Amino acid sequence: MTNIEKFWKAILIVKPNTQLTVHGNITSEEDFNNNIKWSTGVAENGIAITTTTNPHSEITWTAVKAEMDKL
Amino acid sequence: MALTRLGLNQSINLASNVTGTLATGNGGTGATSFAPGKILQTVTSTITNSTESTTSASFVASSLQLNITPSATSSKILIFVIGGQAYVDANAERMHTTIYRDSTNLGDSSRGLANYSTNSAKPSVPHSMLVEDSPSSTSQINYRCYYDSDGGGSVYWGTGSMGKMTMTALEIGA
Repeated sequence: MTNIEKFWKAILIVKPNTQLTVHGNITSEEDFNNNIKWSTGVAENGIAITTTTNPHSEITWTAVKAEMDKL
Repeated sequence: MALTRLGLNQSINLASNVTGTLATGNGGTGATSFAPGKILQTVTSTITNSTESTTSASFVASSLQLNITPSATSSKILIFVIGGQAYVDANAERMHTTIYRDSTNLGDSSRGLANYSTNSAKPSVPHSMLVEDSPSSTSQINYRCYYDSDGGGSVYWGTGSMGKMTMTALEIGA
């Protein structure tokens, strides 16, 4: 299992059905803070409305990394 | 234009039997207008070593895009996207991919232009999209690839760690 596959499994364990987009890989807290866009809604033309600010308090790098390390 | 009379069954030698200048209206030097169907310009964009992934159920922008400025409002734009690898995680049912012209989806509003489904064999297949657009504009247009996940799991767009993915736009004279 690749690192990015572990990341996705971990995210969906920490909070199922979370909608986010990753450009590149997530191997550090810096990646976690910079490489993710969080979906918060959808515009009329079908494009996701996103933010770089994590709106999910329960999804932290510490929590995600802990789940990744179990995989 | 001067012409040489040819004998029976004599083929035309363009180097010696034809003189003069082809009228610009017929495509000669300096022509500014062309017969329908001619390719007026091409624009290509490529990505390599790019992995992008999402669980978003709405379309998110990929990094693959290009800009083109049509030379006439009557032109058609033919867009190809090919290569790379599309991968759908077992937790997702499928990935939808599409192309937006600026903010307009050129595919189906929910399913886009191409779909990739889950397979227990862990498929990784090349992306492939083709669409013809009539933008009716001579302003710069942005065409960009978008993708989403159907089913809640993660889907992967791009090339992964290898390969190359290309997006090409052809302007076709009307």
